[in-house]
Amino acid sequence: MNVLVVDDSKLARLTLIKSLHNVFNDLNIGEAENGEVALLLIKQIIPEMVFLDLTMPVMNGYELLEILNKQFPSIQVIIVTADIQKGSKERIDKLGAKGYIQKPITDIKLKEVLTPIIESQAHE
Amino acid sequence: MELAHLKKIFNGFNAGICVLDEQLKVYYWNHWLSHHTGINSEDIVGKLLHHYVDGVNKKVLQRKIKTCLMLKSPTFYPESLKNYLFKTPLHGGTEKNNYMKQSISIMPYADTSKVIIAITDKSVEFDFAQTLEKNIKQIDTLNKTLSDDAKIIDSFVSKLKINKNNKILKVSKCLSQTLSIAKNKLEGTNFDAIFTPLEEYLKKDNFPETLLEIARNDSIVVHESIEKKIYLKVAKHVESGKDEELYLFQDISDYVNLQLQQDTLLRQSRNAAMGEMISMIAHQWRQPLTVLGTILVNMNLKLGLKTLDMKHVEMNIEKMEGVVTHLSQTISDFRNFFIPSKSFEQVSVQVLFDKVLEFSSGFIQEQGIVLSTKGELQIEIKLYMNEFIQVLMTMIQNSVDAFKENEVENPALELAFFEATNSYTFTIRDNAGGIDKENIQRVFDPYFSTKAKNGTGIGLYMAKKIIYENMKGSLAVESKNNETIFSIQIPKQLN
Amino acid sequence: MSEEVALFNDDEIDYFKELLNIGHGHSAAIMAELLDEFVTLSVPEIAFCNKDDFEKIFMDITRNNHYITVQGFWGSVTGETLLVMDNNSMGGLRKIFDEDEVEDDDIVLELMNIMNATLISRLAMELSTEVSFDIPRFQIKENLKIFTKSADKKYQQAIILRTLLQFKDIGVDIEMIVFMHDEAIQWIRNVIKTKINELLEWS
Repeated sequence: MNVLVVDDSKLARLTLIKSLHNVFNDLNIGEAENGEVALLLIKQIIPEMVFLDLTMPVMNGYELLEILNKQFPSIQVIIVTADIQKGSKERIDKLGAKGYIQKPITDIKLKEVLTPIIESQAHE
Repeated sequence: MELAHLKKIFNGFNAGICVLDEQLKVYYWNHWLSHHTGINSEDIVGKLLHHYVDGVNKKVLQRKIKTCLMLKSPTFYPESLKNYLFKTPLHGGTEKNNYMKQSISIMPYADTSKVIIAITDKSVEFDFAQTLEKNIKQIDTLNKTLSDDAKIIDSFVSKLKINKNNKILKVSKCLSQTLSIAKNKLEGTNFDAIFTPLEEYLKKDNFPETLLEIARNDSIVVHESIEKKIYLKVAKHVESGKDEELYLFQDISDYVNLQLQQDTLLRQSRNAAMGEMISMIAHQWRQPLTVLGTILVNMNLKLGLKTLDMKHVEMNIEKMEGVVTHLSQTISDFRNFFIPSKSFEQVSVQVLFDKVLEFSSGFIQEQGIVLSTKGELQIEIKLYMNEFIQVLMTMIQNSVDAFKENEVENPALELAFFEATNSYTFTIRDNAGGIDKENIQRVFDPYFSTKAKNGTGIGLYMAKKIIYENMKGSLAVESKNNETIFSIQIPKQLN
Repeated sequence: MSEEVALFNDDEIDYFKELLNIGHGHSAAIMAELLDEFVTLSVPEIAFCNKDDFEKIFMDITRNNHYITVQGFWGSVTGETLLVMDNNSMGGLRKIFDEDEVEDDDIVLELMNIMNATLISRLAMELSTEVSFDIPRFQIKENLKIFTKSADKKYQQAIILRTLLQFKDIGVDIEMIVFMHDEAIQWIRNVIKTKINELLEWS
């Protein structure tokens, strides 16, 4: 499976990637440090899943989410954020996110969020 | 066993300890709380706090508890807040508070949904803090007042500080402005570079009496710049234990300059008077010298004609001696007159008038002025004779000059004297043409003269000064129908 | 020793900022839940500064009219946080709290406690340690000089965090200045180094 990790912090990306590899096998993981770069990469190879940090400079998470929802509705977007307000959840749901993970990322949390998504995919 | 032990500890605590949940249900209540609320532990545990205790701010307390649980970290309600979380009456409250000022901490109770609340009585510290705050505010206000006062002083009082080496440490804005020197040019400079004591200063120039006397009586320094001289009166003040001196200055430049001006006027007046005296002497001498000349010419003639005999010579010597005596006497008289007399003399008005007229006889005869006197002239009065004669002379001289200038045909001059209950009045009346309305206001002003030439304008100013200051009298002038009348009034009690 | 401390490398700074971000995000969440309002949290501006900048920081604070609160914390990480807020923001906060008779002081201290406790607690948690907190208190501007002098002696570094809490149409501008003891900074750096090394080794 092709996966794209979008976060302005290199270490945050690394953490997530490490966790992903811990939890799942067989992943092709790409990185982007902001929305613009992400879009460029997506246009080359469309990933099945995108992990998106909300608070980034140069096109933040919400903006990218909106674009992806419109232009690439097949991509499953998981929001990665430290902010877990009720209101935020509603907003990202509306914008078409498949789920969210609260920072800091741990293997357990990742499993929790992704397992249902992957299973449902498997059923399709 | 351990639990009982712990309970003893918590019940011995000098602080309130209780355990609540978000609904304010009570799970634990220690002795301190029982004591201060009057509600025992067994009566409140298991119940809702606000149902049993008065003065609980339910809304805020619940918010605090919620926050604490969410944060998983303590939250606080310090005594500095005005509102009360638990309004607990103080037993014998302090002056300011009747309710306990409490410092409250709300802590999560392990991983439960309950919290531990600790309440400490801070009433005393709070009072203290408030008093401190009030005092600080007062001090701040005082400081501001002092600082404002200091600014005013700095602007209106000339002062400086010097150290024991005479170096200027600090000057006020006022002094800097008075001297027209910037503060930074004054501070750090030696005092003697800026100021000279007046006594020293007077040694340089020929300075008048007035200044010397001022210098003797007060401590005065001078600051000389290119444009002006500034005279400052000094009051010193030594600050004990500080090796510094504080000087306060009073700018007396105006006063000094006035004194100098008056001295100048006096000198000029004296010079003018001297000049007048010389011309009067010359005038007085003209006739006697003519007589001498005639006698000599006669003798020479007789000698030439060889008709000169001893009898003639003796007679002529006698005559000449008489003339010389008269000449000499004239000088003596005038000189005596011009020595300022500080002595009080008693004299009859007649004698006074005689002297005056004697001095002016030359002019009077020359112009054919008709002289008259009026009043009870035998009365004796006490006054500074020479000064007064000078005053009368000035006025007569003015009349004489006016007669000449206006070419009056029948010049008449009247000297009158009148004794009132408390004063003497002298009047000098002439018919020399009067004084214009515009000018009459100004006749006593210094440097004012209507004479076409040689008018110094000082005479009447000085006359007025003498009458008013020395004799404590008054002087007035009136003019009508081509007549001018000067009147001098002097009080009888002149000591 | 302070020079050594100043030299966090780029990766370390990156990691540290991430940790602060996380704590910051959590505090927004708590605020929102507490006030039952949706809060948009801006990306916090994070800057590290050292002793030489302290004076300028304090001057800026005193110049603009601010509410200033202080809260100390201690454990493996020891230091103090100054929370600074201006009058306009205060007005906004009052409206949000919407309690009759709620005191300004109460609101500000609550805000301080929440923002600081969350931030530092989270930081501590990520670094596998715990901290405890003092009662937050107000710092009067007049006494800021005293605070400045003692800060100068105690601390070499500070972290400045500026953030805007946006509640619907009310914005609350907050600046947090976290002072930490050298030992704390050193300790944090060591932990971060270890974690980064783990990550990098793995990759």
